[in-house]
Amino acid sequence: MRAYRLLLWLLPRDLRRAHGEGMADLLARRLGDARDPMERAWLWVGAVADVVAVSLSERLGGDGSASGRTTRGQAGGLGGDSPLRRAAFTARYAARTLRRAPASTAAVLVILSLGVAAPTAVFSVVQSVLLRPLPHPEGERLVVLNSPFLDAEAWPAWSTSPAALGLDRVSAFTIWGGTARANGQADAVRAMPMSEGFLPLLGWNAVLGRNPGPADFRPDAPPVAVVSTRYWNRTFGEGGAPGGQVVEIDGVSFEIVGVLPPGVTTFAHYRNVDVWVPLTAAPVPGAGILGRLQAGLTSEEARGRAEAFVVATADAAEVGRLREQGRSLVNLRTLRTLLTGDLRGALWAFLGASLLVLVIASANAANLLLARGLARKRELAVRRAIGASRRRLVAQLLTEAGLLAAVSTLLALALAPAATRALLALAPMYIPGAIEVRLDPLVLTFSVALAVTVTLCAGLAPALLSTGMSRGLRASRGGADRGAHTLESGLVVAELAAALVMVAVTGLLLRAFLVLSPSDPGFAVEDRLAVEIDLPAHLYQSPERVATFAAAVTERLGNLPGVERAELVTYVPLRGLSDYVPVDPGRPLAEGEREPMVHLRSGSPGYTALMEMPLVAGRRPAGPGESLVNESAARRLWPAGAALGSTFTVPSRPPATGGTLHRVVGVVADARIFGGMVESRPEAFILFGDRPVPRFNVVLLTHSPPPGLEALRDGVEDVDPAVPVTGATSLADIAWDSMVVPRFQLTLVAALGVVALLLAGLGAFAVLTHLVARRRREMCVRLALGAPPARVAAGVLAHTGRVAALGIGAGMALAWSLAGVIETTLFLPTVDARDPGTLAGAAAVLAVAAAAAAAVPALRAASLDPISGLAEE
Amino acid sequence: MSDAPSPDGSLPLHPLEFRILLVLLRGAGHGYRIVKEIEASEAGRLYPANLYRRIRNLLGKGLIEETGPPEDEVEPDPRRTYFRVTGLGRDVARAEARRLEELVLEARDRDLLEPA
Repeated sequence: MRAYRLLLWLLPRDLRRAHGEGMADLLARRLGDARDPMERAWLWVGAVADVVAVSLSERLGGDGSASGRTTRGQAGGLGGDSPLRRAAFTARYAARTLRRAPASTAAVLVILSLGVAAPTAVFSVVQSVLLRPLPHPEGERLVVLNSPFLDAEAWPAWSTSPAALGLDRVSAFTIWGGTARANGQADAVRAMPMSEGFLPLLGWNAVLGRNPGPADFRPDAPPVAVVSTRYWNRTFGEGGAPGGQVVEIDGVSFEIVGVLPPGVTTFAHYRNVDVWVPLTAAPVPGAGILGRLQAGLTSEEARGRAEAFVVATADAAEVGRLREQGRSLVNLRTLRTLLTGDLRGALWAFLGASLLVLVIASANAANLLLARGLARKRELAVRRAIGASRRRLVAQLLTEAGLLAAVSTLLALALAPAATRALLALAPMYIPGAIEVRLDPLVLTFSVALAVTVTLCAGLAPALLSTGMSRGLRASRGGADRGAHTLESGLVVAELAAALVMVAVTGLLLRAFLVLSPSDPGFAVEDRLAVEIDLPAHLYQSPERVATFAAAVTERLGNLPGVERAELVTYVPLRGLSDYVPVDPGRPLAEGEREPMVHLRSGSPGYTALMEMPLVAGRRPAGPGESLVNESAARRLWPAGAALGSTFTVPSRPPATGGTLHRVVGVVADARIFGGMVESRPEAFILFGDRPVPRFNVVLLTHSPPPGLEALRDGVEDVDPAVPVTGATSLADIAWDSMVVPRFQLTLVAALGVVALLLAGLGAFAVLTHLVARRRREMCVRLALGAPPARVAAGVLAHTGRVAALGIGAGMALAWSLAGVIETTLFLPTVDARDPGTLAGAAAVLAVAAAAAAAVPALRAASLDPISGLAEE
Repeated sequence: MSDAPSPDGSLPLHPLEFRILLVLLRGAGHGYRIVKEIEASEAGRLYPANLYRRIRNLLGKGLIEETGPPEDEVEPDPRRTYFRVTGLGRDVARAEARRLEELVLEARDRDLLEPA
């Protein structure tokens, strides 16, 4: 309806003001009465033509009153003399003409509206993700900076020299996962300790209470906090206001002074943050900087300056060590990059793909319009013969195309919100602010521009051709249509070429997807549930307490109904997390060799068995000091072989206190712990008891039904009521999530590819059908003279073959030349965009589609009856 | 021809305006009802902009006026605008009917129609 209201702007103001609502209401009721989508579509066609016609006749000042003029017919036909009146007539005539051929009109409408809806939906996502300004003041200049040299101690030095970092304002933040107690409830929360300038930089202001003021950031100030609306409502109920409420996080009490606006829980890629506190009140290690780039500086330049700052201020030996390991000294990314991540290129690629689909759709629509133009050449010839100018006829045909485009655009805009929602449901990225699916002016302009372009492209050539060749009645029989038929075939060639590119890209993504999801990752995920546990640091300071709790909670959860076994591990697979530490392999290091790094996990002895990670040598660990390594680690740590029985030392933190010694009792096969896209890395598995840490997972092997979150919480509470359960996730879900980017790309491109293929097939079918109809007389003569039907059919197939060969050839060339773009925009690890197998496969698919499109027309040609066929002529 | 204030000045009426008057002579109604009744008696569709342009003309000439929902309305909808025929409108409609009748009689004289 909004689209219709926009359309009403065509009407004179007085009419629109007085009765616009009435018109919209009337149309809405009539749409409500419509029995099926087809009828609704017709109502839209009529309503658009109605508004256009009324606005034209109103503006030419004519028919406003019945002042003296003789009554005109309903069609408003005859007395047209002024150009505008003629235009009104043309619009109505076009609408009537379109109604007379409902099948082809409906086909064009469906094709064009799908063709416009796809790019509109993709564009509205592109617009919100990439083009709409970030919801922060000067949001495009905000950057997040991390560095191994940046921690709470180093922060004061960094904060006093923002210009040295290429920034004009800086603030520090860090992330603090803890247990919050407030109003008698305990929750696992993510808190964000921050420095004074943090909230103002983001432009976040408390909607209830106040932001922390300068006094609150002094080291001796009483601790205060601001919380998210979500947390506030959950803990204190809606409607209240901050006034002395206290939230205690890991033993530190904060007075809540403000509540941030709803929806504010995410900063950069840190999601679900519920509490913000001054950095001074919660010194936790590790800090990042949120800063604003100096005006005119790029993020690259700022990174260069920050690196220079590190080199100038940090310990030279440490800088050298990091550089040798190939690690960066400074990591600086814009907030925009952090939010859109890898998908920036992919989104533009999707937009390109959907525009390609629109090109195919337009070519199809142009073909259908061309066929109509040819079918009507007698009518056009008659109109020319009785004095209509060619210009007028072209205008007539263009008006028809424009009307079709207008209605398709309205249909597309009606479809677009649903398509956008579907897209977002698939989309893995965080979208800044709640994305609103609405008729944004930019999106609207985009769609209308598409529609206008489509009208001109799809309508102009057919209009010129079908009027040009009908100069007189003489020309209306036989030959002379060569230009039109060349155009027809040319359009099909273009469609096939574009479809080939789409199919080829789909094939590439499918290959990438298969590479990324190996059938056997090297461990089992089905029926495994990971329960995350994060012990409150202030209650669990000694390793012994942690180990005791871990053993008790593992046993307790293992006894829950629905659980077969429970084991403990610090990091579950596919989350991308591990301790990456240097180890001492207990052998002399070779000249220039550095201590090898391994990904370290610790857990209970039965963990690797529960995960069904196969042993390739030795046995699984059973007692203290025993450990496993994977094949990569065995090769890396002991290149000479004999990993079994060797020992390695893991340094403790801080390094001064020595380390823990572990003896290798078995070697497990390499597994894709970090997901299919990452090569296997050296990993070591040690026993939790040898190195207890306060964050871990209990992995449960479950029957159905698995225990619910409540049962798990109760189980943990039985052991210690002060410990919250952060979450419970099935490993199968984690595996699914780890593929979300490749799956999103594949789904979207495959859907567009299928549409492209269907449209191209339809286009080929329409043209071949038309070819058979056009050459019917000739074919009948040949059949009558004794040509075998197979030969006549072969003629159709040969034509198909020529068109398909040209289309496929052009498509291959296009795909080949686009390979660079495809590789840089889509996520295609280990797949070459010029992969000959994939291109050949795409060509085969197109050939099959062309053959399928040719089958019916060829059969029809073969089964022509020469006698009746010639008699009809 | 009539004692009303110059209904002839509005003649001839546009056929659609005449039809709208005919519908509203049966009682006040809103746009949707007008459309339904006209479409029921005549083939073809009547679209919103065209209808409301005629309604605006009729309002401008004082032949109809806006009103509230009639008391006997089954589902009165206060958000919708209802229209009813004014006294002048009734006179103009009558004058238009007579004009058409004279035309029809003339057509009969020319043997275009069967005698009544």
